[in-house]
Amino acid sequence: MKYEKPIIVISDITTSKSIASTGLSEWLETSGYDASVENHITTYEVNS
Amino acid sequence: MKKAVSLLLCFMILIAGIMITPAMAAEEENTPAITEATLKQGSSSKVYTVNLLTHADSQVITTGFVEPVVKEGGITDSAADGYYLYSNFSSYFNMFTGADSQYYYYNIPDEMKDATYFRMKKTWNGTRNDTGSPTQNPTSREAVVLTLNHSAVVYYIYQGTSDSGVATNATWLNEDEWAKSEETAQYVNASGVVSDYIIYEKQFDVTEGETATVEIGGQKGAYLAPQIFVDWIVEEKITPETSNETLKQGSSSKVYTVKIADRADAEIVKDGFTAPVRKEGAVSDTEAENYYDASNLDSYFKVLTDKDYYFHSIPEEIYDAQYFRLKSGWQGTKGDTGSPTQNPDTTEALTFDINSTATVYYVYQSAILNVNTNATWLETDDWTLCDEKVEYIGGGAKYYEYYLFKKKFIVNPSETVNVKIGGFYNSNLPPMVFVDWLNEETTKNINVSVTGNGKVNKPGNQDAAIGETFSVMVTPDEGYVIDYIKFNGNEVVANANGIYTTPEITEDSVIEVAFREINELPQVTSCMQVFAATDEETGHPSAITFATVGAGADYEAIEFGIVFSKTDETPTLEEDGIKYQAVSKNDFGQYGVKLYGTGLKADTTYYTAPYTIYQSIHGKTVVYGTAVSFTPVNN
Repeated sequence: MKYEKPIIVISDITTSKSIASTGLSEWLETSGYDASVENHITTYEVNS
Repeated sequence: MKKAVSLLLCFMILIAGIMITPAMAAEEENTPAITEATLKQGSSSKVYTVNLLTHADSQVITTGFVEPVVKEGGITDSAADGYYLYSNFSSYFNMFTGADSQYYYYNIPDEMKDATYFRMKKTWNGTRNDTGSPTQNPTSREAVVLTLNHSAVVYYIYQGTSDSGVATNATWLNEDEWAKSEETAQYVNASGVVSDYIIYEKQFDVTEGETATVEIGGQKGAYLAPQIFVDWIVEEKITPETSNETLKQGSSSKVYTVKIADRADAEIVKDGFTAPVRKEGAVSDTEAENYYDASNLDSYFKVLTDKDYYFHSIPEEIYDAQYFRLKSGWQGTKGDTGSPTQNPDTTEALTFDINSTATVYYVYQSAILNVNTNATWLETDDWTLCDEKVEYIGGGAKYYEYYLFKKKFIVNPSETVNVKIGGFYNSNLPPMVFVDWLNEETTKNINVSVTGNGKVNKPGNQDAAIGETFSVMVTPDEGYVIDYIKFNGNEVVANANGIYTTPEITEDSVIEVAFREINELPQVTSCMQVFAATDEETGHPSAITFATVGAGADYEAIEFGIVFSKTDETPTLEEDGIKYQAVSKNDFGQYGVKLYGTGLKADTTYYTAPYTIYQSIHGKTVVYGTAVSFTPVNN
């Protein structure tokens, strides 16, 4: 399998931090996802 | 003088007979022997114990039954008066020792004729009807007690012409499950009266190193001492050999049948392999062109009867194997599949019978393995590719390494198995076949069976050295997985390379391998909406893609995340999508990947698709969820 080099720079990976996005918890309640998924969000910064 | 010499001879024979007792013979390993034999007889007032192996009035006859011989000038008409009188015979098989030697067996069943017989004093029956004598006690088990070191059938002569009295006179016979024989023992008493005594028999199985005790009871009212025959159960030792060795070769126009054993230009070599011995002063540079030339050798193991081709080396395990040495040209017309020797699909090129279990080795006449072209029968008939090869020196003293296949053929006692060797397409040589007879002292059998769609590299019966492990490689067909592997009925597992290795082999064993269809590939489920918002900390646009990794037996999710694209509505890893790998998921397989930063523009549509890389026994597979689009929002 061939992966091309990303055209967008990945600067950081946050793994354990619980991110706070306004309204996410409420949004998840209606999405059918378990609330624990908030602890399993991997974060990438995308720079132009 | 002549009489004196005869007496001396008789005395010497008697001494020799006494010196070689069964007990002494037992000192030789595995020699069937009666190691103890006692008789108890007498009366209520005194019971005498007789050691039947050493008592002067007891004989242990191991030479077998002999029919009576009418003396010169004697009565030969068995219907005439006096015919059965002992005095009418020059020799006969005495029932008893000493003064009562006039009693003799006229005939006994064939299966008893080579049995060991205890010849006692006639009066060792004890006092008639006195059950204080074990020989007269119908419930005793100690009239005669024998210790056997080998399996045998013991015959007991019941002193009666019918079994009507057995239930009262010798109850032990029925209680101990002695079986009544269909035949009788015909004996003659001192007055020439012929009687047919019935016979009871019982088999005693003795494992190697063990013994069995034979307990024979009394017979109430018996007039005669007990009469017992011990017939050893000895497995017939056969000499392993091949027979009906037949080669079929020629061409489409004519196939010749060669009976190998009848041909002067073929040999069945039983002496075993001998490595080449180089001449003193012969070329020693292994790189020299003529290094392998037979002229450099004092001796070598010829491949063919009429050429100086030879085996430079063969695996050690077949050093002592039998080899069929054939004549050059008997490979038939090269490439003509009308000749069985050239036909890759036939199994009738070389056939022979074996009378004992053996592993047959077939030299695959090429350094390049291409069974599907050259010898398909090797695969269809479950031959096993050996780890080792043979080194062969052919025409022009050229060195070759040839592959070797093997297959084990199990032969039951008194049976034969026909071995079929197929053809080899484009072969330059007749079949090269070794027959390695089973050595039961060093080898055990491993039976490897397969169920379902897949293969093992060692199918069928295989030899395994005692004390060593045995490995088999298990390979499912595409779309199938190992259902189970069992060793002697217990479930075991193969390693990551599909190889199962047994513990040290101590007994014949069974490996069962079963394959089943692989489970359906799990799915990856997308959340059909991306959570797009402004990142609280940076104020930049952000988007979180959620998905669920599906679980499934036979598959392990080794990586998962999202594929991102600004242009491709269905981004994939294969088409320049950008991979953002997730590092964890919850217990339900759910995870999210958040992208944020100045790289996300509020007025642009982006596409993401969740992916999971699954690992199965057949390798890695990427599964995608449904791609979704999103447009970042401004604060």
